Amino acid sequence: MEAREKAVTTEPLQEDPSRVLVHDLRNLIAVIVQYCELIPDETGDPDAVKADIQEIRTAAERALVLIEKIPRPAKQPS
Amino acid sequence: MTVTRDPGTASDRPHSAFTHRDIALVVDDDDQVLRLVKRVLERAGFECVTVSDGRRAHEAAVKWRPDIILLDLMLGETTGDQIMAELREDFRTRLIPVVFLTVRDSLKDKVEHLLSGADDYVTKPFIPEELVARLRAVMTRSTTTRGLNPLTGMSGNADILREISRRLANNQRFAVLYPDIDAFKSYNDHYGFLRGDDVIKTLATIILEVLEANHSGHHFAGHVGGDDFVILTEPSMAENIAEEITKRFDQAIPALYDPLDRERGWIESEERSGNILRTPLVSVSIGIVIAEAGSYGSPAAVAARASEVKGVAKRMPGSKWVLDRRRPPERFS
Repeated sequence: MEAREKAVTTEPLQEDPSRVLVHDLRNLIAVIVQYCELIPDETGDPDAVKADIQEIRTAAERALVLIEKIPRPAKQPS
Repeated sequence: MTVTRDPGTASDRPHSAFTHRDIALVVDDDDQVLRLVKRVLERAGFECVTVSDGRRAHEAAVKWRPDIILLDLMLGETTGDQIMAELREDFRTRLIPVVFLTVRDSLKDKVEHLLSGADDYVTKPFIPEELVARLRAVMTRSTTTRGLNPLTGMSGNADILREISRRLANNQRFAVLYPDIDAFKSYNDHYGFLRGDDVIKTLATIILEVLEANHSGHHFAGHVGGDDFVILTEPSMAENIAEEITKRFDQAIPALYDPLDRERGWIESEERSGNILRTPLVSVSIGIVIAEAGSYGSPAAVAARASEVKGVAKRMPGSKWVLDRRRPPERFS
């Protein structure tokens, strides 16, 4: 019980935004990897493969949007 | 909340009598992840309920009574840890195994969460076969090692003992209700043990329904075995709960008799000596003890006092409850 309470209290309710960003990106990449792994089992079902590809595309597009939110270092003066 | 189907009551769980599929509740704030996990689990034969708003996870668990819960760790305005703590505090959900499914793959995270009461920890991306195997293993372990009563699925003796010990150790003031079915043996002998099981299940369902209708964060209900149950609750709610259980039990029980027995209100059996015995319909007797803070030194002492009071109740005919109004013991050991 004590250990559980400790784990709960050490978890801040408001996560650090950069941590959330990394979490969301990793989630989306995991989705992409996961759907890629499903496709070889579905070669006999073209509709299922199409649906998987659509999921991969959606996840990739969402990842691109998230990448835009990553703070970039200011350009060095040339 | 995005619950993919309308949640029903506990009695219309989708697999209850029709499909026998295990229900998995999946909580993740990403709809794509939810769709993916749902698909993997449904292919493996699970019934899947998905929730994207972590704040509604506890509510969905109460409504669906899933066999297993998969939680993400980071869920926007709440966390998987907070949800697990809520689930563990509620008697209706405390025994449901929880598996974290997350992209956080550090050893520190895994160890911390397993130590804090999670039943397993799986990282994304996962191998579908491995995820399903882990869920099945966790579910098997949880029913065998947690000592749930196999007939009612309620907490068994080990959990009852743990909960009473915890309340005593915290110097908590609480009520113990000890319900027991009267004339149960005669019913069992007359109709057979399978129909006897229906009487026990009826009482179990009534206990859970009454506790749900009288909501409190301090309820606990367990099935000691046979026709004995234990309920822990707030002292101020004890009499009302006992009253409702006896009332509902009396309403439900006639339906479990054959028409002739129901109409005349007794069952007839022949003793070895040839005497004909008439036994009235089963009823429920409840003994209530208020455990004052510091009054009892052990769960056995509380149980002994509750059993004594239940004995007093059983000496009176019909369904009834008796509250122990004697002065609490100085210190039972």
